[in-house]
Amino acid sequence: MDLQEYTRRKPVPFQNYVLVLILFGFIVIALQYAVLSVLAVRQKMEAINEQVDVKLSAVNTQPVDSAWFELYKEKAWLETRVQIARTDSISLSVNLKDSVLQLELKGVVLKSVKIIDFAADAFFYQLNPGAYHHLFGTQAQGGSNYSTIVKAPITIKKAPKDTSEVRTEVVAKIDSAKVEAVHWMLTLDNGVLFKIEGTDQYLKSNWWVGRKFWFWQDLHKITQDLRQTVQFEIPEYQPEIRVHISEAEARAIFRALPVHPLICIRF
Amino acid sequence: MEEETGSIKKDPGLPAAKTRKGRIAFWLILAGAMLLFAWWMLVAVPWLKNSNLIFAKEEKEEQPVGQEIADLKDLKADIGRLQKKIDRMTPGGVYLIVNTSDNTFFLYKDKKLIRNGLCSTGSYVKLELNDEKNWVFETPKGVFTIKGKITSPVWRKPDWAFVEEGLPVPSANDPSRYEYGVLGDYALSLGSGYLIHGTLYKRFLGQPVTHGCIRMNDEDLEAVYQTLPIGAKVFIY
Repeated sequence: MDLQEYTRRKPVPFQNYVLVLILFGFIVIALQYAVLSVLAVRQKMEAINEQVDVKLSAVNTQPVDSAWFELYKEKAWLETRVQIARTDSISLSVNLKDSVLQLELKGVVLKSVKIIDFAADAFFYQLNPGAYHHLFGTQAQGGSNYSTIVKAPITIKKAPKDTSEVRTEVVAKIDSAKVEAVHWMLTLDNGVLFKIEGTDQYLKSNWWVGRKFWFWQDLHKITQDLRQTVQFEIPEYQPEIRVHISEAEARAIFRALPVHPLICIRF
Repeated sequence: MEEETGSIKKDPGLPAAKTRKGRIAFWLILAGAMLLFAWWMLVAVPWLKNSNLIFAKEEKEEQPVGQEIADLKDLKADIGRLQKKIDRMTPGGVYLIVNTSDNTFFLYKDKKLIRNGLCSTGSYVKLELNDEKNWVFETPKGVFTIKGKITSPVWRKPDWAFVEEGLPVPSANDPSRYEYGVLGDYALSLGSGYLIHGTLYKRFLGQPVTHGCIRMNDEDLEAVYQTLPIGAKVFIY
């Protein structure tokens, strides 16, 4: 009897097989996602370096020092601003070197805002002069944009049928003092993702609104990338620049810019 | 025998407890794995993508014959030239900037700010009369010029002013269209019916309450009127 119990193999519960299978699936997907995501970054860099203007650029054929590169960036930025100034559009000029963000129209600075903080992908720090010029040496135009606030806060009001319907509602409808979390994101036509975060240190409720907005944006991108990676496709990598400015200024700039604004960036 | 029977009776409880423990362990491990997976996707991979290690060291190609890059001196000269070009774009005389989001204005003379203050701009109200007729009370954005200047302006009420009050719209030159003393002492025209003028409702300055015009208080309006000549630029954003 004892011998029989000793030799009988204990059955492994079915759930253990399921667990191992799930864990294995997680590991495979996670590794696949990581490898293909890294490849996406490298592929993006290679794609830029393979562009004709980058390959033929004289600046890529000689070793340059940092002082020269800084001046080269300054020149590219000014050239782009001049190029944008020829248009009739309100544009955004982002100077990350001096931490200044400017709203411009026909070369006139309408509003100058101090950038509180910014973060840019390591990708941008790896650009050679030719690739830098390819990305930032010409004006970029905003494509799709997402935000926590509306572009034009239009209130619809039905015309009263007669004077008795007219109400004294002027004071009630004013919403300029309304507190809004201001976060917006622009996808530029050069593939760069430009994110603006309105920062108000006194309003914690707004902080959550912002976090929630960015979390959903990130989640959307991850889901999209994940779907591609499980099919062994390299996802699209969009290098991003994230800028923090004051909330009121972020709102004013967002509402002043056209739907597809022109942007020049000095990195 | 009795003892053995007794011990046999207790046995069924043990596998049940074991199964319960097994299930708890199963869900705990699964939850842990999912958390780890989320961390990997949201934190680890973005960090990896942002790491300098993933970028290959670039190798410089030989310089093709005839291609030379600008030296530091040339670059500095180009920068100076471009900077001057941009500086020249800002009007040298007087100009006005209006911020419709904060409802503020900035008056510049010789590129220096000489006056700023509160104003009122378009309310963004869309007044709907019926399915076909509506008005959006928005201050237009862009660059404008002062087209005309008048003192003691008289407001010729447009159709929407009657519609808004629930009144029947009178004929084009009906006397009820003319209101005196509501636009302040001065008005500057920006074209298309848009004016910079005064207001009776000074408590609303700094708020978006107008039908598209720019309202200022009496002192600011006078300063703007005295400073801006016809043809001066007004930048609205």
